[in-house]
Amino acid sequence: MAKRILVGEDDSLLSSMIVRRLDAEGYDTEATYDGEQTIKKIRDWKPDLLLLDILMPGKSGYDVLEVMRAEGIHASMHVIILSNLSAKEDIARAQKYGVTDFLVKARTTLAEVAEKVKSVLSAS
Amino acid sequence: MKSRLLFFPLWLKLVVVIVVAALPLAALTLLLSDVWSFLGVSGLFVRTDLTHIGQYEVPLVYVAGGSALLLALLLGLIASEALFLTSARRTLRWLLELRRGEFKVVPPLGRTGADEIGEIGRQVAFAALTFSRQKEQSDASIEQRSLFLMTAAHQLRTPLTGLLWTIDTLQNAATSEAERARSLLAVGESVRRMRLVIEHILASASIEEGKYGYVFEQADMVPVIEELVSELKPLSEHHQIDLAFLHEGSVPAHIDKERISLALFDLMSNAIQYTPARGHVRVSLNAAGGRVEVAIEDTGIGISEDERALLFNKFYRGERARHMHPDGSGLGLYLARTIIQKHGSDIAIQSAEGKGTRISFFLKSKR
Repeated sequence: MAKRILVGEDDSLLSSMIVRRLDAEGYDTEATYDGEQTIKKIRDWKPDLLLLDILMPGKSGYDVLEVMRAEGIHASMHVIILSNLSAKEDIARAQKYGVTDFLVKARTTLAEVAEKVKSVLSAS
Repeated sequence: MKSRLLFFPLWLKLVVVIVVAALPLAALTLLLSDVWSFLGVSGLFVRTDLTHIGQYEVPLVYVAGGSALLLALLLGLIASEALFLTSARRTLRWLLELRRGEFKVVPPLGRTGADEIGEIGRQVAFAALTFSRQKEQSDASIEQRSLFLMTAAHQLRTPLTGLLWTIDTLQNAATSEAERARSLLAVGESVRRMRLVIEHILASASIEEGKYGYVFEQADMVPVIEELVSELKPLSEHHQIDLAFLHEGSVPAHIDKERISLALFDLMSNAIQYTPARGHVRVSLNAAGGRVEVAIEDTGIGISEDERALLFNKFYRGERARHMHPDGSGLGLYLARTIIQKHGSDIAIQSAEGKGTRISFFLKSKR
């Protein structure tokens, strides 16, 4: 069965590009566009990996991580942060939640995202 | 600056000190002379005898002269102290305190005399206060500038990522023809967004420098808005907003077309973005009495009373606006208002929270 990947990204252009790319790599990919939807989708769909943006409308990526930790939702899932924030504090804050990796969008190509997803999923 | 007339200048104080100090010496001189003989007091000069201080014999004139000198010194010191030394020392202490505060905090000066030293203190206090205010202002403007740069850079990053990823997609041999065509559309979208961000940054920067020029002309507002409506179609469709433009015939106005377009673009795209799906945004033009009222009504989140005052500040973003779109620049409304003010009007807001907003302003029909 194809691995499930959830893309939590509010920018629809970027989101559709990632989704199409990962679909093409043979993953089962779904997209959510804000924090609230993302939490709900994780609960219902139980993806293997979450690609998570930080600046999203309503609940931010941090809020999603906080809720997941506080309520112990689907703890076995890998989380890769894919954000345009690149300050040290942001990276440190995300790492406190035990995310697998922190990728800065403007410095990462789609091929690198796909590569990272592949390596994380094959290691598990 | 005009030199101020001092009430009690230093030279006058010195005169007082000298006079006070000279008093005992003058008295001695008088005693030594014979001026008081008419009172029956014989002059001191006749008494050249010796006096005994302990086991020493000292001529009386020495004792009288020495005492007069000591007394003169003492009186001189006391007078100087009272007249200017104390206030000079107070001013110096104040200057040291000012320096400890790196001239940013100005402690109260306290009482200084009405002489040159007091005047120096007051002038320095004035200079320090001016400096500390300017420093505060320049710190705030440096901070604002760096916030400006951060916001701008951040806003460029998302479309830039879009472009980078499109290149990725196009380079990928596995990408289908349909996908390639779609990617090209995405390039257009990213470039359009970047252009808009850059336009906003440049406009705000040149407003700050006072170099935002205007070219007014007589133009029909209808095609200007029609063009904006079609430009904003993709955005309104994406947000599932019904965007309509109500007008009759042509509506001439005296405007800077390019600037008014930018202001309207910001107002209209705000209305679209802050209105929940299946809502409406209506733009209308009403010409009457030599003026054209431009109004944008939406069924959006509304603007609270508190937010209205801050809304047009550079970088300000409403609480709920931030919630809906976390990475807006906070420049759009600032720009829009500046432009509309240059057209001799201001933005009027009628709004009910959660129900909608009506934003309107006037343009002159003719020059």
